[in-house]
Amino acid sequence: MTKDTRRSPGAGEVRLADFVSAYAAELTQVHHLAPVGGVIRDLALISDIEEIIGVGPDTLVVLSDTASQGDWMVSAGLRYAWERRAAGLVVPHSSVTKTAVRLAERLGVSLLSTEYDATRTALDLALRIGLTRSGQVARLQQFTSAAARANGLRELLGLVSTEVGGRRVRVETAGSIVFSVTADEVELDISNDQMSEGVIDGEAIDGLVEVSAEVTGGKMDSDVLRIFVSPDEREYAGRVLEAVAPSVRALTAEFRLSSLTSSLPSLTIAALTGSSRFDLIGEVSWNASEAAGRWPLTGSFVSVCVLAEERDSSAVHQVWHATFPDVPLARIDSGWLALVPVRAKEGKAAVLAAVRAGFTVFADLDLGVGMSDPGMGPERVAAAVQEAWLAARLARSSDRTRSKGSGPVLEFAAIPLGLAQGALPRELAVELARAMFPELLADVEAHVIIETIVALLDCRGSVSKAAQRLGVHRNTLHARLRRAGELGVPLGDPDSTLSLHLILTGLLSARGFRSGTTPSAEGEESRTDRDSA
Amino acid sequence: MYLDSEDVRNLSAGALFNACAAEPEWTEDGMRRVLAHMDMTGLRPELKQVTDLDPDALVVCVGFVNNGLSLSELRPVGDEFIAAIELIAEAHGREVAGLIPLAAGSANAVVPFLAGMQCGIPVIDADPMGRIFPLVSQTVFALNSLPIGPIAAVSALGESALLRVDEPARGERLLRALAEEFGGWAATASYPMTADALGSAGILGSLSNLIAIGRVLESSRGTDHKHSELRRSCGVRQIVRARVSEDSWVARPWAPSRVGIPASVVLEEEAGGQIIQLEVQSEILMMLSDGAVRAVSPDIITLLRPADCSVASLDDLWTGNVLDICVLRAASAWYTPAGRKLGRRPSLAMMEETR
Amino acid sequence: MRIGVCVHSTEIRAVTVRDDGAIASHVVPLADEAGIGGFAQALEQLLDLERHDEAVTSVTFDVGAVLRRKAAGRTTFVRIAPRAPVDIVHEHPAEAVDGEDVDIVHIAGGHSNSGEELVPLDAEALVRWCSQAPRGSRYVITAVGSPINESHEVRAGQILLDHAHPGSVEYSHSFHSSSVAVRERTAAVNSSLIDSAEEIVGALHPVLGRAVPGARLYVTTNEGGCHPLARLAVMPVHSLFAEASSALVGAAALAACREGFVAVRRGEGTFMGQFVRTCPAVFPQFRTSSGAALATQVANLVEISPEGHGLPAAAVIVEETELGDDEAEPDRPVLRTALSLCALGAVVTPLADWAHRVVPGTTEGEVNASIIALESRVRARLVSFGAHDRRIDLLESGVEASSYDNSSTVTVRVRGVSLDPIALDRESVVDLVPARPPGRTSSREGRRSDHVPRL
Repeated sequence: MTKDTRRSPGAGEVRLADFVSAYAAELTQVHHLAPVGGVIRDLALISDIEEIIGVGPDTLVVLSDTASQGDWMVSAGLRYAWERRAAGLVVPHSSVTKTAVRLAERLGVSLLSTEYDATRTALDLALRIGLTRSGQVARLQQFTSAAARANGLRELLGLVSTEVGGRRVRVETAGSIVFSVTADEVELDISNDQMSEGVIDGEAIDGLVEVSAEVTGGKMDSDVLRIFVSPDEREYAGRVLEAVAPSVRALTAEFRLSSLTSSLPSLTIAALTGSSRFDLIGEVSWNASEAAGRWPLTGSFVSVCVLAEERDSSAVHQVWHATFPDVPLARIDSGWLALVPVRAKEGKAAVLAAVRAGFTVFADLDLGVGMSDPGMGPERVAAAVQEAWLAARLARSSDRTRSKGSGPVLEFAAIPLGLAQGALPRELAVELARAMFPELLADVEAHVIIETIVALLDCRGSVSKAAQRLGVHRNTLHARLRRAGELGVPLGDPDSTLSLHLILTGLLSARGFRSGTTPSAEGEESRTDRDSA
Repeated sequence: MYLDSEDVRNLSAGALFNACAAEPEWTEDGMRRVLAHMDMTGLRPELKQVTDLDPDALVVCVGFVNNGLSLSELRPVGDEFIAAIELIAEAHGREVAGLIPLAAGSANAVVPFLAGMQCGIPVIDADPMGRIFPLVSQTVFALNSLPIGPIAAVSALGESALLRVDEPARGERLLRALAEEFGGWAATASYPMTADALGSAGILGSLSNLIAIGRVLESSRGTDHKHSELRRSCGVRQIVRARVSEDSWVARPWAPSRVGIPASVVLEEEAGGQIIQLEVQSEILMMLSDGAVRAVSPDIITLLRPADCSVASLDDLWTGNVLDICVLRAASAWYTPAGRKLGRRPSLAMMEETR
Repeated sequence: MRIGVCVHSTEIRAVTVRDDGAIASHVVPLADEAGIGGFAQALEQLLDLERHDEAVTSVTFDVGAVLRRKAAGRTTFVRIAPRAPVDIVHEHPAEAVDGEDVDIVHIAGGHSNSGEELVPLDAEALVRWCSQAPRGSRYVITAVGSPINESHEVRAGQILLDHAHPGSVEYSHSFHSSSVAVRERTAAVNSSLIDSAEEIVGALHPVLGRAVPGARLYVTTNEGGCHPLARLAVMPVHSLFAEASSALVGAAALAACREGFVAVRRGEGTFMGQFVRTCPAVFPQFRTSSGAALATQVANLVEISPEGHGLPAAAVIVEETELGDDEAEPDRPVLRTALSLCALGAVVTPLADWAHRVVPGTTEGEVNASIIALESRVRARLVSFGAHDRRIDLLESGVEASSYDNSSTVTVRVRGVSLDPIALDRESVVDLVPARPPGRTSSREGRRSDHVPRL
C-alpha cells in the first residue's frame, strides 16, 4: 500500500499512460513506458534538436524527421528529455532502434513512435490532450452537480463510489470508521456491518493506493474521507473527494445529529426528578435495537450536558463548535446535550480538559456543564445523560463548586458525596418530599427514619456501616427501614435511589425540620453538621 | 633529422592512431612503400623544422584526394607525386624546397616521406590540419585566408591538371570532381607557400608528434603503461573501454539530396554499463554516453585494442569485441568559432556547437 | 541420424546424433600411411560402426586441418590496372606457395566506381603474352574495379583459356574485398587449395556413395556454417579455418546457448565467440598470423589469456577433455565433455550462405531493390543447398557503412542461414563442473568426473 507523496496535479492534467492507451493508441506505439508515470502539461514539436533545450518539464516532445535522422539524435533527444524531465519522447517509427529502446529504459524516459508525419502527429496529440483535459474537467463538474443533489450521506457517498469505479468509500473520525459504503450497497440497500476500529473492512487493497481528503479541520480530530484506488486512478479520485468534502461535512453532521437524537431514550427529567419542568424537546420513543443499528459511535463516549440561559445560547454554540466542531449539540429544554467520543489513549481527561478550556469564558455566568463517566454502546446512553445532567445541574447552582476553581464544568465522577447535599435547593427538596412521601413526613419518627435512610444511602446500602455510623444496632436499623417501607418510601427500587437520596438529604438540611414538626417552606438557612466524609 | 625504419613504423602507427580510418591498409601500404624504397635505394627520409629553411623557400602540401575507388583498389603506380611536384615547381618557376602532408593522419601523413625520397626534397615538420578532415579546404591555411592554389593533380592513369584557383572551398570542389573523373583519387600538390608563411600559419611539430605517439604504441610495455603515457605526453583526454553490442552497425544509404547520415555503432561501457554510441562517417565523429555527448569533432576519437594497445580500425567494430576508445583534443585553432565553422560536418552541426 | 566428422591428419573424430537426440562419439585413427586414402578407409570404418537401422540423413565434414596448399609449377598473377607500377616498391607482393615460380603480368584495363571502363582492356597485349606462356600454369586474375564490373577479368580469363592452356584460372571477383591485394591473395590461396580439396572430395565420395547413398553431404565453413561438399572443390578457402568455428558451434549446442558468449577451452588454449540469433557473430575478413587479410567470412573468435582476461562473467565455458586427462578444478564453472566439439559442431551447424556486393545506388529505392535482389539470391542458394525455404533466416541484410568518398555506390551485404532444430541428449555427454571454492588452489589430481564418455 503506497501513499502518493508527490505534489498532486492541478485540474486538467493528463497522465501519459492513460492518455496513450485511451486516446492515442492508434497514433503512437509505445516502446517504453517509464514506471513513474508522467503527466503531460505541454506538447512541443522539435524540428531542430537544438530546440529541445528550451522545453519545460512534463512536456511531451515530438521529434520531426529532421530532428531524428541520425541515431545519435534520438539518443541525444532521450538524454535531453531525461534532463528536462519531459513527459516522454515521440519519434518517427523508422528511427526506433533497439539501442534507443535500451537507452530509454536506462534513463527511465517514455519512448513512443509514430508512423505518421511528425507535424500531423503533434497536432493530433495536442488536440487529444486538450480534449482529455476538458473531458476530465467536464466530468468532474458533472459529478459535482449530481453530488450536490444527493439526499443524505449514504446517497452522496454512493455517488462517490460510483465515480471511482465502485470502490468502498469510508468516513473516519479519530481513526475509527464511522461510515463505509460502496455503490453496490447503496443500490441494493445493504448496510455494512463489518465496521471495527482501524480494520479495513474486508476489501482487498493489494496494489492500491490510498487517497484521502479532510472533511473538516479543527482542534480535535477531523473527519477524513478515504478510499483505496489503483495508482492511475489516484489523481482523479483525489479531485473527486475534494469536490465532495464540503457536502460530506454537512451531511455527516446531519447524520450524526439524527443518529444521536434517534438513539436517545425518551427521557424526561421528570422521570429523573419528578418535575415536569425538564422535558426533552422532541421526544422520540426509543427503540434500543434500532438505535444500535444507527449508533454513530464506535468506542467509548461521554455525555456532556450544558445548562444555560436562552440569551447565552449563541455563545454556547460558538464555544461548542470551536471545541467540538463535529459533535452536534442536541437541544433540550434549558440546555443542550451531546455525546462526545473518547479516544482510548487520552481518555475522558482530554474531553474534560477541552470542555473546561472552552467554557472558562462562562465562569461568571449562570451556566453549568456536566460530563458523565465514560461508557460504550447505546445501552449506556440513559445513564450517561442522567449523570451529565446532574453534574451540570450541580455545576450551575452551587457556589461551592465554583469556588473549587473548576469553573462551571463538573464531571460526574468528581461529585463529592457531600455535594449531594447541595444538589437540590432545600425548598425544592421539602416540596418534593411532601409531594412524594407524605406519609413519611407525617410520621412521628420521620426525622429518625429519614436520617437512617440517608445514612444507609450514604454508606451505599451497607447496613452494618450505616448502623455503626448512627450508633445503633443493626436490628434497630432494619426495624426503621421496615417502617420506612410501610410509609411508602421505595427503598427496594434502584431507579429511585438517587432521587430519594437527594430529596431526603435536602430535606435533612432544611431548617427547622424536626421530627414531628411540619416544616415550613421557609426553612431556616442554617446547615446541618452532617458533612460528607 | 633522418628517419630510420623504426621511426617510419612509429610514424605509421601514430598516423593510424590520429585518424581512426576505415582503411588502415592504405597507411600500412604507404609505410611499406617507404620502407621498401629505403631498402631499394639505401636512402632515408629527411624531416626538418620549418625554421631550417630559408623564409622564402617554397613549401607545398602533398596528399591524396579521394572520390571513388579506394587507394587499395586503384593502386598508385609510383610516379604520381613526382609529376605533381614537377607541375607545381613549373608553375612557380622555382624548385620546391620542402613538403608537408595534407593531413596529420592516415595514409596522407606518410605520403610526403616517399615523395620526398623520390624527389630529393625534405619533409617539414608541420601540417595544415593537425588531424584528418574530409575536405581539402578544412585547413588552418584556409582559416588564415591563404590561397589553396595553384594545385597540381595527377591521376593513376598518368593524366594531370594544373588548377589555378585561390579559394580553398572552390579548390576542394574542383579537386573532388577531378578525383572522381580520375577514377577514384588524385595525387595532389597544393597550398604552395613560403616557409615563413608556413611558420606562422601551420600546425608545427605534428609529424614528430605522430612519431612520438607511435613510439609509445609500439613499445613493449604493457597496455596500462601505454595508456598513462598517452594521457601524460600525447594529449589523450579520455580512454573508455567498451564492448561492441549486438545491435551495432546501423547504416543508412545515401541519397543525393540528403546529407549523408552517419552510421551508428553501439557499445556498452565495461565499467558502468553505459550505452556508448559512436557516430561514424569515414571516421568517428562523435561519442555519446547514455545519450550525452562525451566527445565530438573536432575532438579526435580513435580506437585501440586493449590486449596490446595496437591501433584498431573501424573494421574492429564487430559484435563482442572490446575496444579502448580514446579521445584527444585537436589543434586549438579548430575550437575557435571560425575553426568550428570550417571544421563542421553538416550532420552534426548542432552538437558541435554546444560543446 | 546425422554424422559430423572432423578430419585430422592422424585420425578422424566423429559424432553421430540420432533422431531421438542420442549422441555417440567415435575416434578412428588413420592407417600409418596417411594421406587421402587413409581418410577414406577411416571413414569406411566409421560408417561400418554406425550401421544402424536408422538412415543417415547427412554427413558434414570439417577438413580445415587437412586442406593443403599445393605448389603449382608456376603461378601467374594477371594484374589488370590502368598502368603498371613504376618500380618494385609499388608492386604489391604476390601470394605464392613455397617453392613456386611466380610471374606477374600487367595488362591495362580496369573499371571505375560506377562500373565504367577506366581504360580499355589491352587484350592484344595479353594475347601476345599468352603466346610464350608455359602450359599448365595456374592463373589468378585481378582487375581494378572488378567487384563492380568483372568483365575485364572474365575476358582475360577467356583469352587465357583460348591461348594459354592454363592448368586453372581463378578470378578475384569471386571474393569480396575493396582491396585488389586482398582479393588476389584470397584467390591465390583458394587456387592453391583446389587440388587438395578435389582429392578429399574424390576420396570421400565413393565411400559415402556406398555406405550412405541417401545422405546429403556438407562441409563446414569458416563462419560456423556449412555448405554442400561439392563446393569444397570450388571454394576451399572458405573451409580452411572452419575447425575453430565448428568447435564453437558445437560448444554452444552443448551449452544450449542461442545468444551470448561461449568460450571453448582445449589443450591449446581458450577462445571465445559471441552468438547472436543462434549463429556466431562474424567478421568479413580473416587475418592470417602475418597480418595479411583474406576475403572470407569467419566467426569472430577472440583468444582468452590463461588468466581469463577478457572473458565476460556471463560467458559459458565448454571444455573439451581427452579421456585420461587429469581433470583440474576450474576456477569458474565449466561444462566438460570428451566429445570432439568440432565434430559435434559439424553435425549441428546450419546451412549458410552470404552475398556481399557493391551496387550502384544513389536513391533509397535503388538500394532497397539491390538488397531485395541479393536476399532472393541468398535464399535461392540456400534452397539449392537443401534448406527448407521456411526455415531460412536472413541474419544480416543491409547496407554497410558508407563513407564520404563513394557517393554513387554502396556495399550491400546479406547473410542467410537455414536453421534445422536438432534434438540433442546433452546430459549424457556433458558434465557441469562447479568452480572450486575460493581459497583452494587448483590441484591436478582433482575430482574425477563421474561421467564416462561412450566410445
